[in-house]
Amino acid sequence: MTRSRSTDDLSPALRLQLRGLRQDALPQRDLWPDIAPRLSLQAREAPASEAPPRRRVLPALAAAAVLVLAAGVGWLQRPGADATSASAPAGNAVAHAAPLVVEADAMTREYQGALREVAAMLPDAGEHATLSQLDASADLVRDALAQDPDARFLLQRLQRIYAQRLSLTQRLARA
Amino acid sequence: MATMTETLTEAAFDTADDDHALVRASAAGDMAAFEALYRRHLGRVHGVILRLVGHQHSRAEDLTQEAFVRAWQALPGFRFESAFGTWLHRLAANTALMELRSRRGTPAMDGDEDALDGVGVADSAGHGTALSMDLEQAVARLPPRARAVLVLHDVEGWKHEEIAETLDMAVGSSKAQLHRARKLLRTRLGDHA
Repeated sequence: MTRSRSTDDLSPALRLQLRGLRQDALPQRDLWPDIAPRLSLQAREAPASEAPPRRRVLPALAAAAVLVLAAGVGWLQRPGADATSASAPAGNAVAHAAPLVVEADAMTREYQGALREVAAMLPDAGEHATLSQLDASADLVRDALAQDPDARFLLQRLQRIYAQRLSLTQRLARA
Repeated sequence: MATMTETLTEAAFDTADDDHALVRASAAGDMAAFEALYRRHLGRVHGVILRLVGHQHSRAEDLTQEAFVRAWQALPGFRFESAFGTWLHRLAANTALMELRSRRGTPAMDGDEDALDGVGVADSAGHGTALSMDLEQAVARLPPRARAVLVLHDVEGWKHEEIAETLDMAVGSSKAQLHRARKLLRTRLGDHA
């Protein structure tokens, strides 16, 4: 810390006297007996205080995983799902495929929202090789689904990748 | 003289080395090491806080405790880029200034000179007149923010930029507060200034 030159309204004597005030001063009593319990309390709480962020992450991940699974399974188990794709005339394939893509988009948005929450607490998660592979796989499946919007197995595949991605992130959070 | 300088320099390095060893141990959770740091630096920490709060001893003791607790919390982040004593001194000043900032909204912290006049003299009230008041008491009787700026600038040697940043004010405000504080100080010291 360098002294500035704004001392024009201060006499040299007073300036020196003020500098002289910079002296050590002991409190009127020993403060350590009051400080030590606060430190030991924190020392005991330290592991617990680090844990909550992860404990908060895990429910978020679990909720996200459930959400993705529910979205995927819900779509797959909807009334007439199998019958629709199995019995749909070829000429109506595109008309029936649009809801599938919409469903995939909705599932992806939910998944990405959950992942953003987690990513804020696990900033390095995106650099994990397996996670990157899963992200790349999900992109490929999304592309394939865009090419073949009636391929229900691609939606199933996408749902499994998202679940794997969240599960792996969950394990990283626990590590 | 050279011998004395060398001796002092060596002593300073020894102290810094000792500090660093204690800091490492403290950061790892060694409370005995931290107590040694506390004993070694208590006077400096309490001194700056006492000056900033206008020699209100009870308040200064509370803030000194708080400063050491905060230091214990922050130690794992200490990077050994500066002397531990310098880092701790800064942390102590910030602890006192944080409280000062938190009181800014209260009437006693606003610009009303009359309201401020009695602040900071809890332990020195009734001690003599302005003419016989010593410099330390005169500084203690300054309005809180003006006192903080004067103490930081004229006693502790901070720059206006550092003061402004820490007190969350414009550099110009820091300079104005210093000018005001010096004027008040000279008035209260009378002919002695």
